[in-house]
Parts: sequence; structure tokens; C-alpha cells
Amino acid sequence: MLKEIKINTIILTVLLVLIITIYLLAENKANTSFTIIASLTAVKFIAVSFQFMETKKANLFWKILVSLFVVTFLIGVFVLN
Amino acid sequence: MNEQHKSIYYPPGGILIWLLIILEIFTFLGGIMVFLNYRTEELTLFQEAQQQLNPLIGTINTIVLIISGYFIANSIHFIKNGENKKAARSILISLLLGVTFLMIKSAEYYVKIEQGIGFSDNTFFTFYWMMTGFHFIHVLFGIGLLSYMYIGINKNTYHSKNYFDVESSATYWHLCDLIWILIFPIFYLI
Repeated sequence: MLKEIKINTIILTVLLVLIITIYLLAENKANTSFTIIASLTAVKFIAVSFQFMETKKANLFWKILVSLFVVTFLIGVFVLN
Repeated sequence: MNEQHKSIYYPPGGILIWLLIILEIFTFLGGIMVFLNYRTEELTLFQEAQQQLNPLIGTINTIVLIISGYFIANSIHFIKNGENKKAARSILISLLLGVTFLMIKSAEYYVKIEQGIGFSDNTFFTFYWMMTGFHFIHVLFGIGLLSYMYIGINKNTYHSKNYFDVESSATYWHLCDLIWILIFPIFYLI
């Protein structure tokens, strides 16, 4: 149990770093920001889903479905921007 | 229980909440895609409208919701391990962070209304009110669920042998996290 809480804490730290990075990138308004922000958003989504929501313990079907969703999101965002 | 989760019918939190999650995230994805499609057609309008939102407030709210998700995730490990007091405390922290999120969002809504920015002001704000509003309702419902779980754990209704409802509620709470993770950069940053 302690191991899982330690992993949660590491993931939380990573997520907080990502959130602040995304904010700073958006503030800088660099040309590459959009691609990086969308990609980091996908990473955040995967981290929360797999670790906090415990998708990692679910059947392969649910893991694939969540991953497919993220891929669809990224394709849609890149195509429509 | 962990072995049981390997079955397609028993994901963590139960299949019904997972079907709801899949349905909801794909619905929000549809909304995001339509929003981005309108954005390409009215790029200048969308960029000007976005200037009226404060990305720092959105970032703070993201941090609040993510930390809340962390505590609810920990509460599941505590309750499984029979540490009810720790589980209840973690749920309470999640709950208070959820309330903080809603208070910040309400303050943001209040400022927008004071500025005369309404639902039909322009396409950007129609989507903004609709999608963040739906998310707001989700968080509000989640707070109700977590309050019920908090009371249940304190009354010992939920414990290490009976925690399915708590796990389902936590999964629902993560749905609120996931939706916000998607809509925050779309409205505030990109």
C-alpha cells in the first residue's frame, strides 16, 4: 500500500511540474507551444487515468480504450488547429 | 479484488461508472472538436475572446483539482488497508479542494457576468459557458458523492470489506479531473 502511495506522490509531483510548464509555455506564446501543450495534456490525461484512476489494474480492453481516446484527442487537435 | 479487476466486466470502480466515463469523455471530446473547428473559422474572434480569460486562475484551479485527485486516490488505498480514519481524512481534503475549485470558478463566472460577458456574447463564450458549466455541475455532483462517502466511512458503513461505493465515487471524481485536464488548455491556453 505504501508503495502505491509513494507512486501517487511521484505522479502528483510530475503532474504539478507539467501544469506549471504548460502555463509558462502558454505565457511565452512560442510557435512550438501548441504542439507541446497538446502533447503534455495527453501525458497528464494518461498519468491521472492510469495511476490515480487505476486503469493500469484494469483489463487490457479499458487500457486500449483510454489510449485510443488520447490518440483521437491528439489527432483531432492537431488536424483542427 | 486486484485479480478481479483483470476481468473486462470489473474495472476499478465498476463497469457502470466506466461506461459513464467513456461516454462522458467522448462527449466532451466531440465538444472540443466542434470548438476547434469554429476556432479555425473565426480565429481572430476566438483569440480576442481568450484574452479575457485569466490562464493563471485556470492553472491554479487545475492544481487544486489534481491535488484533490491525489488525495482521493490515496483514500482508496487507506480504506482497502483498513485505515478508515486516514481514508476519511483524505476524502475530506479532496472534498474541501473540490469546494475550493468551485469557489474559484464561481468567482471567475461572477467577474465575467459583471463584465457583461454572457452565453450568447460570441461563439467562444457560448462554448466556454456550456462546457465549463457542464464540468461545474459534474464537480458539484462529485462533492455530493464524496460527502456521502465521508459520512459513510465515519459511520463505518464503508470499510476494508465494503468499499465498492467509495471506489466508484473516486473513479467518478477522477472523471472530473480528466474532463478539466482536456478543457483547460483548450479554453485558456491554446
